[in-house]
Amino acid sequence: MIRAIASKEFTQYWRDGRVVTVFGIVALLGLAATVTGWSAVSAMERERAAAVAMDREIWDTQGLKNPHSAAHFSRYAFQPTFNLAVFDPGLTEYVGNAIWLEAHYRDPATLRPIEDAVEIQRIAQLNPAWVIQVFAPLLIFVLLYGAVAAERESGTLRQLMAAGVRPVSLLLGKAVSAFSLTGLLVCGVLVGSAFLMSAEGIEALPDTGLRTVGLVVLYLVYLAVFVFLALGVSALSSRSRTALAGLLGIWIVATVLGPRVGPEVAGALAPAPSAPEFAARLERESSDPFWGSSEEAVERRQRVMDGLLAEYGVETVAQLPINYDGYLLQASEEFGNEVFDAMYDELWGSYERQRAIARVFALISPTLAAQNVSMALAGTGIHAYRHFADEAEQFRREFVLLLNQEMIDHGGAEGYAYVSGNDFWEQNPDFEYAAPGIGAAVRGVWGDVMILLLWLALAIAVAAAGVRRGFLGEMAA
Amino acid sequence: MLEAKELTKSFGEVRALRSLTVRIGPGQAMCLLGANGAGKTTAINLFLAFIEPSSGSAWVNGHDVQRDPIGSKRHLAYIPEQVALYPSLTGLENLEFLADLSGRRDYGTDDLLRFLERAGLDSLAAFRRVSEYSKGMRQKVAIAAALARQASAFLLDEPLSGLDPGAANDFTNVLGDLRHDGAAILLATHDIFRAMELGTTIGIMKSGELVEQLDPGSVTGAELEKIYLDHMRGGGAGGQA
Amino acid sequence: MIAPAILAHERRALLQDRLPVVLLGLFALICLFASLRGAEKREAMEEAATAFEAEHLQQASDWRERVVAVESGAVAPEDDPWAGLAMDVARPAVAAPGPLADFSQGVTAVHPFTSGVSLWRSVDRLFGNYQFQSPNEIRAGSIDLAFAVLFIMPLVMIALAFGALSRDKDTGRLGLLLSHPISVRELVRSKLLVRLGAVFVILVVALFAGLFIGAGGVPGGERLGRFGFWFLAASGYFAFWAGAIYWSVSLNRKSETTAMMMIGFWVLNSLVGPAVLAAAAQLIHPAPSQLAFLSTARAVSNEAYRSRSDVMQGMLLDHPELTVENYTIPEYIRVSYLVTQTVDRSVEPVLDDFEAVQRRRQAFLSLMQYAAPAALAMRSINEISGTDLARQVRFEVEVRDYKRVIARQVEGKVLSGERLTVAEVDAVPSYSFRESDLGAVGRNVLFPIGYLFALGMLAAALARRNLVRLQTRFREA
Repeated sequence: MIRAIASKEFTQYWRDGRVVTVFGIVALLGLAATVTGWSAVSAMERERAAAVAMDREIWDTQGLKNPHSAAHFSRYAFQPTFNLAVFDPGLTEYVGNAIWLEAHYRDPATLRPIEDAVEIQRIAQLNPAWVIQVFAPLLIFVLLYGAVAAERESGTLRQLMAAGVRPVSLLLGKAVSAFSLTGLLVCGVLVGSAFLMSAEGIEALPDTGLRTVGLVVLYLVYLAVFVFLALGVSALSSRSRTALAGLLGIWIVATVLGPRVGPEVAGALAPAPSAPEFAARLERESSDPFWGSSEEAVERRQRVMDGLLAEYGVETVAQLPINYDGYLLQASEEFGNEVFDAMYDELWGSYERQRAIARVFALISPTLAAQNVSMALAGTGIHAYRHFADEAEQFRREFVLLLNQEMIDHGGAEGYAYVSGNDFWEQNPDFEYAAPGIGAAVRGVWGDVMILLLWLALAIAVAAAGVRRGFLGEMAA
Repeated sequence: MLEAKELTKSFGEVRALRSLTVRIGPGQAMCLLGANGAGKTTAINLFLAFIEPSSGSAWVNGHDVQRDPIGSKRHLAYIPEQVALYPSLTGLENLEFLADLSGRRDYGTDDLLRFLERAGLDSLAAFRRVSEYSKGMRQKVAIAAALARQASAFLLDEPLSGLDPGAANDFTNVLGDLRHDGAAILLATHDIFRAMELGTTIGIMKSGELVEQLDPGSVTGAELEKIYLDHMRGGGAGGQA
Repeated sequence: MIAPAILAHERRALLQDRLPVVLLGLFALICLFASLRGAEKREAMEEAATAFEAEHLQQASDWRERVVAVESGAVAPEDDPWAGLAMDVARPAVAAPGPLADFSQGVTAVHPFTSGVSLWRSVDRLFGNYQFQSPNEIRAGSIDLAFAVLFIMPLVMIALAFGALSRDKDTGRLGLLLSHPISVRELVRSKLLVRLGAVFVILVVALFAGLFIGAGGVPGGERLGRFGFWFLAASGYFAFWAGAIYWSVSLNRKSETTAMMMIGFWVLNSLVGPAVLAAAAQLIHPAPSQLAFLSTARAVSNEAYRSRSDVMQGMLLDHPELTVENYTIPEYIRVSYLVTQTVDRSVEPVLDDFEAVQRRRQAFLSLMQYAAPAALAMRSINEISGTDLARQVRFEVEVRDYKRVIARQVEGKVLSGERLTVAEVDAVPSYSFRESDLGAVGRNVLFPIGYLFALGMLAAALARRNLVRLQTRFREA
């Protein structure tokens, strides 16, 4: 029974010019997006590989230099763009690619690709995930708006009932056909992306296999939500015209309004600190209370000196067996690090609060929830970015400590005049970034997963109730 | 007055209407009989300028309907098989709107109610929403609209099908009154007996052609039915299935 | 030719029907939210810009006081050896938000608008750390009047108008209506006049509300002038959509087909068009690699530092007059200056490249935008608002030039290690960003806006032709 209905549906799709056109356009867009995504990611990775090599070379050949001066020049941490970004670049364009690991300061990631982008890219960025998130639901709605309503209008619903079709068979028959057609599209885009992702020069995320499975499941659930919603609305509408209007309304709210309104309202309710103000504060609070001329700063430096003199049991700095300037620099780093921790916690906290508020809007927009989960699985979400930034910061601290230690241990009386050479630089470690596994990736998006499942349950309930009501109504007629 | 001169309409290969020439003067009613697809509705659509003739012309009170579709419609009233109105409005409100469309914004509620009454709709029903109306009641609103704009030519496309005998009788009576008041009426119908009752001329159409014109006074109902069936069985396209 | 009966009927229908009222109310609400939010963001930016400028000017003024004190003899020169150090000349450069930044946020969310210009910073570092915005927020884009007009308004127009003809046709009323002495054109035009007119009224009210809300009172002349163009652009976009809707209605298709066609057109124009154009502009005119730029600047800086004695030698050969015997200030200052200058010189061609690429992209889009009216309208609207990319690029170029001007002016004193005099300090120019004048904006946007009107009129003319044909044919299959 279900097979008969599904096969009839396929024939109807095939004969409906509108369906073929929409499917063709979406498939073409998916293809274009995949190729664009691949070319963008491989270009970014090529550039990154070159930059990493160059960074090492510059470091190794800086010649004679005071280690602390070197810490000011320091090095960069370059954020890798992993394979799954071909499919869903998520925040890739909106976060910086490079973090300067300089002494005394925790820099934000700079060089955000969006700054180079033409302004109309702010409207929409072509990528495979976006094509699926936005256009697959539209395709589903075009396929299914008349699923029940049109059968009723044309009187074929009565005939189906007379032939003994049960509501659940009708529901599943229609669902299976639309679901498999759009599922084909999703799988096509994912397979295409996966093929290009494995191209040379693109680094694989840990658990790529699992993540890909996760993405497939995510998008199948996502499609199912819209399939059942469409069936439900079609069954509850007296006419297919009304069903179409209602579904287009849902589409606009879910894919166009929700993903924009959510973060905007969140930004209004829980504003993130203003960028210039935050930058100024970060610089001031990490530096002035230590290096400034205020009483507090002078006392703080005095305490560092007193503590050190006491530790070595000497009277003056000159008697110290280590270089005091280096020690003071490192003490200032440790002071600064606490400030950075507090302030960056505040910054990340504000992002998190915004995300929590925006998530409420996933209740009217499953797309918003799907986007969050998709980015997390693709390793391009906010948590992946934070993980990178935190790891880079950890490395910065160790690296600056290493350089200060060099000055402390060997600077002696020379202090700032002490210089190290290339043989020392060459021994210094590189920043090796290891992205987190899938467990850490999904931890931040459980809420979104739950909301999606809630949507699925709701959509199935609406569809079941709608089709049952449609049958009852037809019997009463 | 309704007049067709050599009115012909083809849809691709299909000749829907062949060279129809009729003249329906004031106080005259022509009833067209014929199977589905015989060309009755095509003729009415041509008088309404809803389609273009392949050749020939249709005239309403001296207006060529193709050259002056709006002018010709000032005199026309059209009652389709299914009169569709705005379901959320009352009968009276629908009538008011239709009268407005004809440029008659000067009627008061009493005037409109009078038209409805003449069309056979009681004033209680006039204040109910059209969504509750039967097919016959909706037709009465359309007739009232025709009265309101003082139409002198009526095109009716199978208005009787689906009406219960009582309603059909009422309807025929109203049309009879209109004819007596000088209206020219073209009525397409399957109902031979109503046609006899109302028509001043009976036309039988087959495959787009007016094959017979009869004076209802010259034949009995049974004879007319026999003539009609003979034509239908006479072979050719458009025969009754 | 408008039928008063239909006007009256439509007005009543519009107000009685719940859906159009809800949609219009929603549109008005979004516009209001957009205005308030836009004003809030603009104000925050303005405050940040003003605070930044005030703080830096204060620092500059404190610094000048020290020079005054030394010059007037109030402070002995040896007590403040750093007073008037030419290398320390620093000035703020700020671009306050564009005159209508509250109407359209454009690129302002991601680009710097403040710079602490200092000789210590090479031109690639002039804009400090501003990349603190929430990546999720900038990815989502903002809800401003531009969004309401470019995206929401056409949707509301479509929702209200798609059934203008087909609704009566689907319900079988059209035959009865057209048997009355009224033309199809009158019927359609009267209906569209009421339905689209309602949207336009809300648009006008919303724009004027935005004008006053954003100005926080009576708007000034510059704002009013820009507003005039903005209003024209919004009206042009409205006219374009009104024409498109008129045309699709005139095709006399089923309601569902008309609705699908219009939504399809919206998707192509508003989402796919801009996304594809943006991708094409960036594919055809790729930006130089930011990472490579960074590496170049660092390599040059490293190289210049390493061979500082050569650099210094070169400088002295060029400027024998700067061989000062009693050079008292530390050598590293001169070195830093020379290193920074070397970096500035060597990154200049790369920066020029970036600028050239942006210019080429703008040229490409200026032509191609005619294929995607939403992109065209957005670019015009951003330019009018003073939030376009070209303006941003101009600001950044001007700031770099400004640094060069300061450097040229005080270079002699930096290299000779002499103090600046008060007169020399006062001779350092200050920077102020000048908005492009109204005439220039007008010259750039009038043609694109005219194109929108022309498209609308063309579509209306085609629609009129269709409807005239339909008048005597509407029942022909």
